[in-house]
Amino acid sequence: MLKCVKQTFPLSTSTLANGLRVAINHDPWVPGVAVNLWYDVGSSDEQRGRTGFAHLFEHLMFSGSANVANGEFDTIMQQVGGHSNASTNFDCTNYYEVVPASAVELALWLEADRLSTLLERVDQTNLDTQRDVVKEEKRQSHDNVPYGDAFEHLLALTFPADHPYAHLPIGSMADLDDATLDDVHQFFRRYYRPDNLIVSLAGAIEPDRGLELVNHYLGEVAMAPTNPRPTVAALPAMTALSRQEVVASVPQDVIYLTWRIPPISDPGNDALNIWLSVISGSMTSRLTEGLVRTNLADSVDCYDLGLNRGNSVVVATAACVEGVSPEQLEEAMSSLWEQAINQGPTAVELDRAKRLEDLQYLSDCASTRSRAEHIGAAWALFNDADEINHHLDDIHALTTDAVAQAASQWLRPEQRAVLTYRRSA
Amino acid sequence: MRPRPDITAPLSWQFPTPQQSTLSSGIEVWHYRLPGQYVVTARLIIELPLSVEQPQLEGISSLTARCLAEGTIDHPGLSFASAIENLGAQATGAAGNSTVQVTLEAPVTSFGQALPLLAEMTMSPALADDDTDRLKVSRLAEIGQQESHGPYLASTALRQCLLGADSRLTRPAGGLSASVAALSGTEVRDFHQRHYGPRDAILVIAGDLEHDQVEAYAQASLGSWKSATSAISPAPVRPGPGRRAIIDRPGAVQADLAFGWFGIDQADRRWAALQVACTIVGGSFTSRINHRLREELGYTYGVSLEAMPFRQGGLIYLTAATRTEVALAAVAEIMDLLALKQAFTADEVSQAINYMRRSAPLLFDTAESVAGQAASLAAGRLPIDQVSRYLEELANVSAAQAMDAFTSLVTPASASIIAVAEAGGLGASETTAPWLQVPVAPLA
Repeated sequence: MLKCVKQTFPLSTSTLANGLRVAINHDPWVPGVAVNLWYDVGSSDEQRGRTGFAHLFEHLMFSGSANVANGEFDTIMQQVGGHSNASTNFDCTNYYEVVPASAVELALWLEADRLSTLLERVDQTNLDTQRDVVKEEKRQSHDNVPYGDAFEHLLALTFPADHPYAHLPIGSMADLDDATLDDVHQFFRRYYRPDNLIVSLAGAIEPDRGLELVNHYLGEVAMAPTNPRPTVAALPAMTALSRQEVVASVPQDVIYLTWRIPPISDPGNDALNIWLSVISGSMTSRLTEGLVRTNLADSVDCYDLGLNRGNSVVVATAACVEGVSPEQLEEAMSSLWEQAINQGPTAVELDRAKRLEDLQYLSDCASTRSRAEHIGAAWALFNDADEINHHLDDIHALTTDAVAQAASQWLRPEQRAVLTYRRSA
Repeated sequence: MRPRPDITAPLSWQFPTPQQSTLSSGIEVWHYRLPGQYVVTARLIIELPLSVEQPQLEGISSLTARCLAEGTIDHPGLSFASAIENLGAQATGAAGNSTVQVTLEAPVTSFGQALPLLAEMTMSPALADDDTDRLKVSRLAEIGQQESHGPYLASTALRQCLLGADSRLTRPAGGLSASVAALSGTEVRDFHQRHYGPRDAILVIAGDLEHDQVEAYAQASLGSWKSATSAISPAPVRPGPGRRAIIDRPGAVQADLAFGWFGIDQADRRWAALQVACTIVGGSFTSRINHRLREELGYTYGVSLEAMPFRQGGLIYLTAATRTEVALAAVAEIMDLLALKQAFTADEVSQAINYMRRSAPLLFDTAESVAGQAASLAAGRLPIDQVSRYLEELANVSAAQAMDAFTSLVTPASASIIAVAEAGGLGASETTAPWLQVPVAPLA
């Protein structure tokens, strides 16, 4: 019997008096420290007519604060040899710095300054410039690439128009144009507060020292009255098969299928994800064997978007081999999908998927940057910072029956929506 | 608000030094023991330059490498992938400019069982007709995907003009449609037989494993490999004529701009100084061009400037995507900043040096990244302590050296420039795009 790897990451957690949560993973083998800030705000919090705002706001967080000039954040990072960035998702906004251990205090000071005093510096010029930058980002990532609007269509097929997940974090050009400085002030006050933030450190820092530093710099940020996020009602699986076809100048015909599933924090979510791995996660998975090796699809991929408010979404996508129509591919895929649902995974398939999850997860956790992010995400999404230390145990405890049952409840072919891209003549 | 904390200089750091040994087959082993890294990365680097491909069979090296994991003589068809995946491991092959690299990732607990499978796919792959045909079709589809992206079209056009027309490197490693479409299993098997062998090969292994274990695994897996391949050196690359052009991409909502120059390799004495200069001019977030185009003008999401070394010579690329209507203004801004009318200041230079020297330890904190860097040293035939040497050299680069290195290689007049955009929207004329009227000037 092959041994499994058991890696334990030491973890200390604490909640400061102002509500800020702190997690520290000490790693004696690395020279640097990753500082990760997870704010519980994302595009799903945006109001109608203000899509794209959470992401635009993220850009403004680099435009200076009371004691840091516009652009100085990045200059300081460069001077210390650190790297930093940020991303805005449906459910969260994430900032990180990876710095030499000698500069962790400076990184925390920078974060404290912008969390305390951003509004003292942000002005119309910053807003206008970053609005233009974000619009270029949208053009570069979505509007100027084939299939760049796929997710916009997929979300519209999967959620009602007024649902928080019905639009993408990048938003619309018109809404970006409408964003005002007043929106910036309101958004900051509503969401950028210590009790809406998790700070995770991973790397060359002792837990006591890490906690002392976070408390020293971020512990003094004023508390704000509690203002919890509204709950988003869970939607059932889709029942009426909705379809959309896009005819565009794309290099290949491609099909995208989606399913509404329970949120990522639902206890059944692991079973659904391992089922996706059984059918598409590797060279031996069912769809790779049944579609790619039979020359119907050029590629196939299935994944969970990892959403957490009411629902998440599974996306399955496959590109047609030249001469195969989207209809043929969808029919073949649906047939294999149904067969896999009806049969459930075999013990061998499940074991293989678990081992590949070991590899993927341990690879993800190998760097301090992604490890700090994992810890913050697990605390925010599952209310369990220590999930990093039992995730693989949870995966290995899954049985073929549990996996088959979850898939047959949530991923039946008739519960899908379909988006087809067809090459224009 | 607390006062801004001072920082102390970070502890000195060196890229890890591997334990080295040589297998009976002649393969050199570089072992990086990295405590706490429970996923082991192994990379076998085989000397095999793309220039050995016959012109009508271009793409064959890449196709052969991609087919390695599709089955072996002992594990035909999917039984090979099953054997690897049952160990919780993954293996792939890929062809680069001068080497083929076969990569294995496996948890420490199964690495000893997985390494023989890396050896098997390298030494005795099946390369069955079904698999070569399927991956050939996949490569043809990939070409279609790549050519539908503006940045790819711009960088490909640049490569074609920056290198001499006789160079294999003017064309993609994976080959173009005409030659790929002509490939067959027979030719792939023949290519493998003639060119895969232990001569000059290097096996990099990084992860939390003891050296004795690594040596035993490597010897058992690859110690007996014999092959009569002959030594091949990559063909030298020469500068091409350069070009300035607008490539029409109907429907594009951005212009993909690419500037390029023929560059240098890492053995050149200007290498460290050039890196400092590139970081200041366009290679970092705070660089002059990114600051101007993104943070002051809002023209772009970002700019990049990079020196890419070959074994001999190299390329220097600057790229940016802007909305169509400001593209020509962006070109003018870039040309203005490339002229270095303001010499590098001591602050700019020290900031760039600090950034590169201090960030290096943070970039190499996983087995995968250490193995990747080691493989790049092996592929470049560079000394094993090259990273540490380079970091030392960086420390001593002066503003004058950075200026000299940059201006000896990069000037506005010597820039090849490609803009991939909806041509009608650019409004190019003699006034708005004077650079289009002037041929690329050779460097003095």
